[in-house]
Amino acid sequence: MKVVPTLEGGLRIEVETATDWLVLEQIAPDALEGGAENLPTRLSALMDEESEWDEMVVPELQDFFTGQLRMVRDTIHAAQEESGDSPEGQFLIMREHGTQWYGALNQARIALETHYSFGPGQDVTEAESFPPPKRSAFIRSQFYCALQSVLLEHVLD
Amino acid sequence: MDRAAGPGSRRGPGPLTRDKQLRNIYALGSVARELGVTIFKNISAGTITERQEKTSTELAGTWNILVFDDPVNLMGYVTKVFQKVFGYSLEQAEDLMITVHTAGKALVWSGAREPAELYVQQLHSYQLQASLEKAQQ
Repeated sequence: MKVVPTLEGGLRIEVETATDWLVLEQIAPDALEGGAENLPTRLSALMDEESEWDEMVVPELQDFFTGQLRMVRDTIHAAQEESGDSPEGQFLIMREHGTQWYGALNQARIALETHYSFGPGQDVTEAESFPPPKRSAFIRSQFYCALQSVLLEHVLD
Repeated sequence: MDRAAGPGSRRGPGPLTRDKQLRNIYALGSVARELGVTIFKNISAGTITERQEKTSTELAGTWNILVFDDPVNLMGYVTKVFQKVFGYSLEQAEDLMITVHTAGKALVWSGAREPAELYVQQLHSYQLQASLEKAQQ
């Protein structure tokens, strides 16, 4: 997979193999299966009762975060359909969608790192001793983090 | 067929979605708190069953916004969020980010309750863990 900054301030994702598609497809499921729906509640855990956060803000955050995942999933599916049977394809992350992509990737990383108990500081060499599902999750998490770094450097204001 | 719903017929604004209801109630709650008046509500049941008093004195004064460290958010991202939400310079935002990272939390803004709540809402939307606490007098 190649990630190329565009002149418009976005990114072009050039998918080269079927594995690339598999990893991209996993962003939303990783977030959802890891309990992304609980994220607003976790973020709000320290708010006082006066704020009525659970009633007023959490539902809105829930919709907002779900929208990020939906946008990412739909973009990837549309690109896959366009590529047909070929493993190669491409799609754009528009500048205006940078924050949503970053947020979706963050949700996926939070979910994976919570579920498998590893963090961004985890030594890559340790991953070799992980059982297959955890190793696979670790590699995806590293990929999501790398894509976030590119978004941070080239896309986000 | 519902004739009233046919083409060219005039319809009312339609029922409020739950989101709109919540936003309206939230706005009403904010005004009520500013005025120090009593409001009644029980949102989950959709009926008015609970009396909730909020006086302006309870929420008056200065409130601090605290942001807490977490292992997931990238440091550069936290800096950008502080710049975006609060309009801080790069230096200010980086200083705060480093405080969050090293001390586990940082006081990022102080002021009235209402804007503080809006700031916290924005921080949560960027997936930063933040909360409010009343400043010591």
